[in-house]
Parts: sequence; structure tokens; C-alpha cells
Amino acid sequence: MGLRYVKIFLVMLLILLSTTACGYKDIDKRSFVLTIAVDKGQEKKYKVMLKIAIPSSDVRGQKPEFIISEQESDTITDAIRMIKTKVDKELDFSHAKSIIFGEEIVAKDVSPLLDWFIRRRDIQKIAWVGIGSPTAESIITIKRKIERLPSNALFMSFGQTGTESVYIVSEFLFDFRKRITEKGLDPILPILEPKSTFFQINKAAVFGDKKLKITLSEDETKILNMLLQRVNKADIEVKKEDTEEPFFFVSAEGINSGIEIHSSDKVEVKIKMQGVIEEAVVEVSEENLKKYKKLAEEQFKEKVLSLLWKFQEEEVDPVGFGLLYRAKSFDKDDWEQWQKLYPNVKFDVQVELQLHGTGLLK
Amino acid sequence: MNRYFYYLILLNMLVNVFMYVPSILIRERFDGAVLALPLGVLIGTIFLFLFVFSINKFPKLGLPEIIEHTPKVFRNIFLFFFALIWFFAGSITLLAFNNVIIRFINPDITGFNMISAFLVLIIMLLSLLRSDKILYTLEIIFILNLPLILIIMLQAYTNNYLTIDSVLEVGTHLFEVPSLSAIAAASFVFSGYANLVIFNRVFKEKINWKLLWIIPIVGFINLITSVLIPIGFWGADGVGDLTYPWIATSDALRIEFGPIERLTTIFILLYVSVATISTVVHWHVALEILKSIFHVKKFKQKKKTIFTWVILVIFGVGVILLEMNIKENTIFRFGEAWLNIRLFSEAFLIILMVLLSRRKKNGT
Repeated sequence: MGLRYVKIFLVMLLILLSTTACGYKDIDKRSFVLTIAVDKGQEKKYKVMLKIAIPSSDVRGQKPEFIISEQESDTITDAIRMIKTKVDKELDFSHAKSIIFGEEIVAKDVSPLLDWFIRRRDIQKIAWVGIGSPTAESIITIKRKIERLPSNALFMSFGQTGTESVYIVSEFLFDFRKRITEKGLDPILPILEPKSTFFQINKAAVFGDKKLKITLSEDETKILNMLLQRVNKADIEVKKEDTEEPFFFVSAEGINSGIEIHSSDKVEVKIKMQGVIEEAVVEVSEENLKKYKKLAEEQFKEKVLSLLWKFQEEEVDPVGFGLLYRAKSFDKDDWEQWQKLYPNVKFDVQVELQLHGTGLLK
Repeated sequence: MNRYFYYLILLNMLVNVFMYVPSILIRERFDGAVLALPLGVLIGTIFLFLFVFSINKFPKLGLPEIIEHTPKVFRNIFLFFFALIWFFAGSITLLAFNNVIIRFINPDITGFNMISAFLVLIIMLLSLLRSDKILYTLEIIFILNLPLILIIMLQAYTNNYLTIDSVLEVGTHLFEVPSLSAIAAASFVFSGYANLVIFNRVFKEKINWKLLWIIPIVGFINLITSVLIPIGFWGADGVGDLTYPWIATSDALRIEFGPIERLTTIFILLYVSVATISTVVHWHVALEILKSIFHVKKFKQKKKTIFTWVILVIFGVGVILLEMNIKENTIFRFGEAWLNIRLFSEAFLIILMVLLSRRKKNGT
């Protein structure tokens, strides 16, 4: 009795399951978008460019093949729809792991631009976001010689699987949006610059008011990365006292930083690290290790302070002091309070460096 | 058999993502959702203990048998109402995850086709499995899924991009009066015990008191995870814009060297099985309650089968009609209303059970 129903059901199940297959397009009918780039258009608002991989049967010994399809439009949806008419296959965004914005486009409010990326279900929220300087186009059109798969270099540098650099602030799409919406935590993005056959990432942009406000230098980017706890290894340059000459370099590791707000007018920043001397430009001696440690701590503290003052002057807050204040305060208007406090707040930076030795040379 | 009781509770804790519990609590994160969490735990725990205390007085009996001697009109209306509650519990889960599947896995399929595919599976399980077999199925699904769900949770907690300060900022809104919806949503994670109204029939022994204290603790951790982790990933101010906070949060997770980098795919597939078995459990309770109203036990075998099928077809058609007529946003409001009604009917159920168990104590 029951068995007959089971049979009928199995047949029904098979029929229904086969109808779901109608929703899918085969892999050879899809073209995979690897990078989405948006620049300011010449006539319209946006110029959207999609870097589409051309699949090849033989992986070895092949140059990365890709095409770039572009369209100018006032909205991203419309641009994508127009690009669809140029590509014969279904656009597939499931491998779009990086998003590059042109420098001009982030000079204005980015939240309307970001809306499409967050709203669409097929855009990964773990895609990397970066700024192309001067344009996004200059970044995605580069054919890197050492790149085996198109766009792979971008993924490798952001993901820290390939190169590990303290000058790259890697930003995920979801984190970028969090920083845009969150009061008291401002967005940061890495800046990519084209250099003939490759690109370089060693600067960071800090946003305020949802648009690009300041560009950080290499050194400042490194310090920001340390403050955000994104890196735990870095090299620190120490200059000779009262001069601009380089003295020695410390290769620091185990970097640990923390911020605290105890009273409303002072922000405490603590940075702890340990390391050895990596390169001595002028002769150093093991006996003076304590002196070097002090010198390094003091000079680094100055650098951190000047970066924090820069943030304060421009009223940006990428480290999240404002958010910390909100998290500590039970008042309802804590954000308004902080906005008044921030321009006059004092910073107390404490650097603690454990200098273990002078490396393999005495 | 005792462990199956914990599975039933765990099932509700896992499926709260598709019952709009995080969505409701996140919507009210600045107005009382924080206080609703401990309140929900308190209410849920009190209900749980009272219910277990009462049902232990009636070993191997389900709710229909327990209230056998109450007036017939009251019994039938009461049971029918609860059957409806359980039917909607299953339906909301089904509708919500049907929606998610269409959006994230197969966007080109129609809602009707997708839900029919699930319905065939669910109805087949319901028609074949008796209460004890459903519990065994539940166990198998947990054994397969729980390790992976725990890995996802671990990934979430250890993520560098989880902003603790955003979570704390929401935490500082502790002293706000929570709304009814928030309390109802928070107490939902404990209400898995209510499935015992039918499953107690197959439990061979009484529920063990000694391990019950573990449930409030696990429930609290579960609530905190399902509400605060999305806030940590999407920010205290930005998280409110998300329609499905947990799907978006799972999309913010990645295992760099894993076979699949984007964890959301694994998350959705895991939750398909959890949501399916949850629908099966809830509908099974509804089906069994309806059977007891009409005293199906006394029917002949053929008539019994026909009755079961009629009910199952009604369930299926009902859910298809809901799917075709209500849109995403309406499901959400529907789910919220269901959670509120559930809180009160659960309180009513508890009061009734306590009274009946006291009477039994006095009588015998």
C-alpha cells in the first residue's frame, strides 16, 4: 500500500527536480567577471568596466586572456544591462573578487554608488575594494607579466596570500560599507597606482563625510595598519638624534595596539612590539641597546602622534575613536558629544618596544 | 530517548534565523532589544521548566490524550487552534527559506516551482515517518550539519573584521523598554520544548531534570550570536538595512584556503536541511493534533491513510497559496505576528498544563 505511494512520489520528485534545472545556464554559456571598475564618465555619470576572463583549455604556458567591456551610464544597473547586449554570454559575477573605483568618483559621496553592490545578491560581500589612481581603467587594463590568471595579482596582493605588505590596507566590501554607515568609524581604501607593466599599492585613502578626504603617505599607511591591528610585523626606521640621517632599522613583530578612552578629553593609544635590529646604516653596538630602544620608541611615538593630529585636523576617524566613545557612553546623544569633543581631544601615545638584539652581527 | 528532547530545543535555536528573530531584534536594537534578550531567556526558561515539570506527570502521553476529559467543544477548539499555530510555524520557515533559496541559489525559478519541490520532499517524509522516526531523522541531520555550523560560527567569532565596539555601542542601549515583538522573538529560541505535546508519546522515560540548566545557557549564547554577530560585521548603524541579516553576514565570511571560499554557499545549503526538518517536525505535530481531534485511531487502515493524505494536501495547497499571494515583506510581518501570538498561546498552554498536572496530583 505505502510502497505504491512512495513510487508515485519518487516519480513526482524527479519531474520537479528536473524543472529546477531549467533555471541554470551551463558553464560554457557564462562569462565570468573578475573585476568591476567604475570611473567617472565623460558624458554620463559613471563609466562601468567589467574585466571578463576568457577561459582557455590549457592552463600552462598561457598568457592571461581577458576582455574589458565598458559602458557609460547614469546608473550601474543600466550600464550592466547595456554591457549584456555586447557580450554573447550570461554575465556571472560570482567570481568578481575585486572592485576598483576611480579617484574622481570617490571625490563625491560614494554611498549611492555602493548601493548596487550591496543590494545585488550575486556580488560577493567579501570582494576587495580599492581606488585606482588616476583612473580605475588604468589599473584593470594592465597586463601583468607574472600573472597566470587574469586579475589574480589583485586578489593575491589584497588577500595577503601572495605578498605580505604593511603598506596595503585590505578592505572588504562589507567592511567598507560598515565604515560608511557607522558613526565614528571612517572608511579607508588602498590606492593602486599603475607602473608600466604592474601596479603598486602603498598608499591609503581616508574618507570623511562619505567621500575621499585625505591621502596617506606610505609611512602613514603603515602606522594606520598597525593601529588597526591589521599587521603584526613591520619595519621601523630610526634616525640619528636631531638629524634626518637614517641610523638603523628595527624589524618589529608581535605588534599589539590598543586604544582607550577614560576621560572625555584624552585618548590613550598603546602600541607594544618586539624586534631586532635589521640593518644598521651607521655602526651600532650591543652595549647601547637601551639607548637605541628609547630612541626608537620616541621617534615612533612622534610619527604616530603626527598622524593622529592629521586625522584630527581633517576631522576623520579611521581608527574608530568615536565608535569607542559611543561604545563606552550610555548617553543617547553620545555621537553629538563626541563631535564636539574630537577637535580638541588630546592624544596620549605610549610605545613599548622590546629590542632583543642586534641581529646576527654584533 | 532523553537526548531527543534536547534536539527538539536545539532545532528551534538553529532555525530562528528563518523565523525572523534576528531581523526583529536588530530592527529594535536601539530601542530595547538588548533588554529583551535576558527577558526572553527568563520567560523562555520559566516556560520550559514549568512545561517539563507538568509533562513529566504524564509519561508517554501527548497533549490530546492529556486533555481527553475536558469538555469536548473546548478540547476541539483548543487543539485546532494549536494545530494551526504549528502549521504556520512550519509554513513561515518554509516560505522564508524558499525566498532565500530563490534569491541566492536559483534566481530564475518561480516561487511555485521551488516550493513544490520542497513540498514533495516534506510531504513524503511526513506520510512515511512516524514520530519516533522523525526524531531519528533529526538526529542524523544534526550529526551531519552541526560540525559545519560550528565551524561557521567559529569563523565569525574569530574574524578580524568583527567590530566589537559596534556590538558594545548597541549594548549601551540596555536601559530601554523592550517591545512585545522583541520579547516574543527572543523567547522563541526556547520554545522547541512545545513540540513535546506530540513527541512525548514516544519518549520512553521522563525528561531528566539534572541537565535542564544547560538550556538557558546555550539559548542565551545562541541569541547573542544570532543578534550581535551581524551587528559586529555590518555596523550598529548599517545593519538595519539588511533584509536577511544572517545571509548577509555569512557572505562576509571567508575561508581563505577552504574548498569554497565564500562561506555563504555552505551556510545556505546547511540551512536548507535544518529548515526542511524543522518544517517536517512542526507539520508533524500539527498533523498528529488534527488526527486526534477526529479520533483517527479508531478508523480503519484505508480510511486512516486517506485522512492523512487529505490533511497533507491541504497543508501543501495552503502553503502554495500563501507563497503565491504574499511577498517578501508580508512574510516578515506575518512571521512577526505569528511570534507574538505564539508567546501568548504558549503561556496559555503552560497554564493549562500546570493546572492539569496539579489536578492529577490531587486526584491520584
